Amino acid sequence: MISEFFVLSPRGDTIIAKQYRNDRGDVGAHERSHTEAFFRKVKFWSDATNEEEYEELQDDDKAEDGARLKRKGDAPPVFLMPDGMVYVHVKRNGLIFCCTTARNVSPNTVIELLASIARIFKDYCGTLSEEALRKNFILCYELLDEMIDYGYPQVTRTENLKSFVYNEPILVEHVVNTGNLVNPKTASASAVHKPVISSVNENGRKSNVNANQKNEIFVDILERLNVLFSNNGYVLNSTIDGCIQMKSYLAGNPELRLALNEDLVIGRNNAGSYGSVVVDDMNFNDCVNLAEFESARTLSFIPPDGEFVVLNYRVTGEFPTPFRIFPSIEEVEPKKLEVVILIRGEMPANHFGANVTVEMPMPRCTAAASCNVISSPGSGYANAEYVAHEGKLVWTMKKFPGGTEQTMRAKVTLNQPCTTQMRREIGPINMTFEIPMYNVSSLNVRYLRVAEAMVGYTPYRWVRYVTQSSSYVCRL
Amino acid sequence: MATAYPPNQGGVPPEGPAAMPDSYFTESRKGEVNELKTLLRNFSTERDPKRKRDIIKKVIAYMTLGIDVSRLFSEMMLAIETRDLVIKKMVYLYLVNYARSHPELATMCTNTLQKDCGNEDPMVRGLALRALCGLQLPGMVEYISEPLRRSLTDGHAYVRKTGVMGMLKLYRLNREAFQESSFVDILYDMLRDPDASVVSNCIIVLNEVMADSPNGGMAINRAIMLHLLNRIHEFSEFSVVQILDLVPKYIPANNDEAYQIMNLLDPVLGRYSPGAVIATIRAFWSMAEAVGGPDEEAMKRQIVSRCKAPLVTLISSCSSELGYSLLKHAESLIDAVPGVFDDEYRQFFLKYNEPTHIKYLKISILPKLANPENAPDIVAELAECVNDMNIKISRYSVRSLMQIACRDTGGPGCAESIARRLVEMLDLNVSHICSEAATSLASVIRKHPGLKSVIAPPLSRSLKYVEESSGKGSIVYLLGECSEVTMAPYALEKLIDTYDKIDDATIKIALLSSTMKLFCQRPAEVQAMLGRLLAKATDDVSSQDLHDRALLYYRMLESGVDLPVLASVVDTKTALGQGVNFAEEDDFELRAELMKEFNTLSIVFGRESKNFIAEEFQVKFAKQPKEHPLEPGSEGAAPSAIPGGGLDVLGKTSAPAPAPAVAAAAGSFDLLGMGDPGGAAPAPAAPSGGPPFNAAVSMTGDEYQNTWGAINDSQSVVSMVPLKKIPGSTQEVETALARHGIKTMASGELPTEFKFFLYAQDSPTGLLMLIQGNLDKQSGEALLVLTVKVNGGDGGASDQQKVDTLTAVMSSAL
Repeated sequence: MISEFFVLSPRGDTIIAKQYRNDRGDVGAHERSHTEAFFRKVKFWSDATNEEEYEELQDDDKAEDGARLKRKGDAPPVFLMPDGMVYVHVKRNGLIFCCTTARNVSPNTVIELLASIARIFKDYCGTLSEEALRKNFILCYELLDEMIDYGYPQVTRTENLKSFVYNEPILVEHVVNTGNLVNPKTASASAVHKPVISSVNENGRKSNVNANQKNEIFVDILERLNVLFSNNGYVLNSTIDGCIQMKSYLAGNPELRLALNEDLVIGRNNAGSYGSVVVDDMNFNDCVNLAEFESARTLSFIPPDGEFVVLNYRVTGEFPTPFRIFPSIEEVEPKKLEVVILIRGEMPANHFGANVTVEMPMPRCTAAASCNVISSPGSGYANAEYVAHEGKLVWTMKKFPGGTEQTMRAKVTLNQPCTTQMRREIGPINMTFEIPMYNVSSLNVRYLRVAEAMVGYTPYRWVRYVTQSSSYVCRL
Repeated sequence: MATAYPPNQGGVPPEGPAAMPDSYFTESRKGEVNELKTLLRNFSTERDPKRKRDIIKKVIAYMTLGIDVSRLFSEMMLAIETRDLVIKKMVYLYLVNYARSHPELATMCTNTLQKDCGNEDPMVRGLALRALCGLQLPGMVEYISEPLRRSLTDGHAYVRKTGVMGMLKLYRLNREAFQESSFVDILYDMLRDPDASVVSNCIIVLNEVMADSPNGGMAINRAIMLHLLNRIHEFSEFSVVQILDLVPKYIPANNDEAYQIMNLLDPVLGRYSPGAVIATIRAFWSMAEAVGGPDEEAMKRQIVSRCKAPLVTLISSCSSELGYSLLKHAESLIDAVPGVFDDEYRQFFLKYNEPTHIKYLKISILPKLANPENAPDIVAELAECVNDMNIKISRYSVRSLMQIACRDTGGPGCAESIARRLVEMLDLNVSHICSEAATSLASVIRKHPGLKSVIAPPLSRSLKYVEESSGKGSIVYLLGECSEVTMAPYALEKLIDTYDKIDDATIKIALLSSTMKLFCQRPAEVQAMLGRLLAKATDDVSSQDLHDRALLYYRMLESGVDLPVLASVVDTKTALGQGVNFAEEDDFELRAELMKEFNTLSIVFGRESKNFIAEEFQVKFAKQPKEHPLEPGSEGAAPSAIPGGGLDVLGKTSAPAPAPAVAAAAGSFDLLGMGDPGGAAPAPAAPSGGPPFNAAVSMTGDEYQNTWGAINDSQSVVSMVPLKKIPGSTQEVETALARHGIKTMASGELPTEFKFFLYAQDSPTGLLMLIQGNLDKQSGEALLVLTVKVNGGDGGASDQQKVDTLTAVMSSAL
């Protein structure tokens, strides 16, 4: 199926490389020229299909302008190279996981395989970074050996791999910057960066479960919002992509039961009673037993080791948007614009948006802009400025409490008198944020417990709700 | 860093100053490798296991960096004798990587590897076997065969699984040796292995080994297919794909079986595994094709509606890489069955931070979803995208708008509103948007000639500032079409007067034909400028086409052709009729070919695989079985058509197959709905003519349990009995079966299923058959799944025969 696998660093160095089949003809196993060629192709991907467009892109190069350079486009995950091989890659944390194939394989399966490899490397090394992989490359080779044989996927589950793996992970310091958002009662986010593997003794034989391993499980209810507003605050399009993620460090892998809202309705057509939680569709991890899902909205499963997604769901249609954006642009003088962005936090007052960023592209002929932020009490440090090399107004807020309003006022000076064409270059406004302990769909976990009660077995359960922006855009 | 230097074979040192830097680097790199060599020499004396590991680790690190460390081969071989598995694994890795460059040295270590293949630890056995087979040295065949054969009966699934893959490596190494060892038969046999990963590896190997056979892969028959499908829930996300990929190659016995297979596969759609979901869609599709007939289209539509929600959920929840591939697959489903995805159009709107290739793809999908209801939303969205900073996105958006207008799927008035938007874009004064809008308008006018009045007003104005040649050419074309524009000739006249400055042939040709068209309409105004244009164009040799056309027009005018005749020559008749699309949008043949290659790279590239896969790696599979072995009469022909001869392992034609039993088997499946009255009666099933099962038999619960436990699970045979409806109680089933000598040990009703524990005695042989039956109440399909163990049976073909008889009896009883 696949011929080779390799991992490249963000600079294009080979971190791990393994050849499964010699489909390329007779080249040495240490030969790396093709990975270099591949890296150049990805890095300098050009969408140009004809000469004219190519010239346009060349002009962009000359402009040496970060924002414009982006027009070159991103390399698709699957493409054919001149050596006749198809290269399939995924990017994770800046690393490129890539494999090549000479056969007409299923792109879905191959991409899924690459994603699994990345996930398993992360599970075993604790974090996924260039440093972590370099320090643990022997462990990675060991894992690869078991995951793929002669180009075909074999064992791809973290817990099944455990019995085959003898190397110990070398830990890499992880930079934590969850900052002061976390209160002392919660576990630090770095707790989930522990590798899953237990220790191996001197003879290369496995010892039993690590004695001082904490018995704990992390559950994340993660919702990513896609919202599109028109310039008068009307919602044009809105969806939630949600998932329940877990990372289990429970000893003995007990069966767990996870209960969701009892009034949960699946499928837009079977609309339930008023106030019930409606999701369009849901899919589940292989390990989930759905016997009681129809009747009691309860899932039972034996959690696999490492990080895994229990279920994914999708909600379209109306839901309360956490923030509303009201922009206004006024031409005060021919060469001067006044931009006002008002944002209203519409979630309850006990919640807040964290690390909020609002971006607004400005016309190419912008000379300067002075920004002024009017914050309401309770909000954290806020700053707004015009970032010239990106051509954007960028407004950042550490904290945005629910039920408040924040306003940013910018006076923009242009090089030329404003035209309709320039007005078109302004916007759209994009907002990114994270709202801890809040979810929009009101899907919630009623309980998570060990199926068979055992005396003295009290796992720590960390449940986190997070709402994030995926694409939160306001048109102008 | 990664440039590899060949090992210095003691050659002459390079001479001259130019070669100096090169040799300098070679020296230093050689120095590092030499250092490792010294370290490795001390390896055997090193006591500390951690330091031992570090030395080997260094070698592997160099290997990864692309430095040729093959010179250390002999030193590394010394390290292979170790009890430390971590070291062992590293040395194996090195060994497999460099064996080809040092075949003689590699042969030396086969002894150790062979010895490890017999180690007590299954991990070591598996590792050694994998390394041994991975060496890929021609001389190794004799050393490999024996451990390989032994591994296939190993007690540990890990070793068996590795052994099966080893067979594939042996096949690639030496086909003759592989074929001599009759491994193919063993592999077919191992499809019944209790471990799912062994089974999936068997399928992989058989598919590759048999790729050159007429089947283009593993030969499948009904028994194999059902056996695998019944176990599908045991397989992991990657191995399940192997089974799902077999389904499109299988021709079901009849329509009911096609539906049964689809029901069995349906739960896979709810899984979070994109590969499996797409493979299931492909399997469904093939089943719909197998059913064929007038229902096929409706069935395909149903399939796509069923798959829509899971597919959209996957697209929105997975990574952008998978999203790209899934969107491509969704696009081909949209092409194949238009209309089904229309109501999900919002899922195809662009998101802010998506990679560009996904944005392009979504923009090209959106026009395909347009219907009168959603068209205003889609048009508004695309019109927004036109303003995107990315030039390509903005170009594609204009094109997509044009496509909605040309396909005319947006309902009444939609084409006109799009035309108005495009006309507005002409005035935008952004070079690429104007040009793209002009080109699009030229297409729109061909489909909707009635919109000329909308398009005409700004044409002469925009001719001045459209810069790109394709756009300028389109405007000139449009001016020729819209002859009622008063200014048209004078706009063209300016262009004619600056003819020498035009450097693009497409503009010149458009100019020539447009001027001719105008001349036919308004001869008095145009005559003078046409003369000037023809004079220039007949002298222009930059384009053959232009030159020839100019001459043709010139000579026609010279010979005094009547205006109507001239007009009929000049008029290109480019208008499309109602309900006709542009040819490139209706490429049905390519789409049909691509649907055959669904779930492969062909869908992502939009090209058939023969265009981008090297010939040696192309696989063409044939649908199987050609003649269904279950149909009476074709029984004898089926096995002979299949190479390898190992096919009937799960089938029923072992050497002494008695003819009546075969007929019975055939009859039993006819009951699935084909209505062969001869087969419906259970009586002919028994060779003796009497009842097939001895009604006098009885056993106790303990006996039952012990016998069941004593027979290996791998020897059980799985079968299915379709029922007319789901029975009201277990009692109903038991009474019906008791009449035919099938006794009930126990039965029970669970919320979701019925369970039966049955037994019967085969009258001819007197062997006891233990039967466990499950009936899923929720599936909607009344299907009793049987797991049968024959006490004292050989687990082979004769058991299968008995089970077939049993199935026949039961289906007639119920």
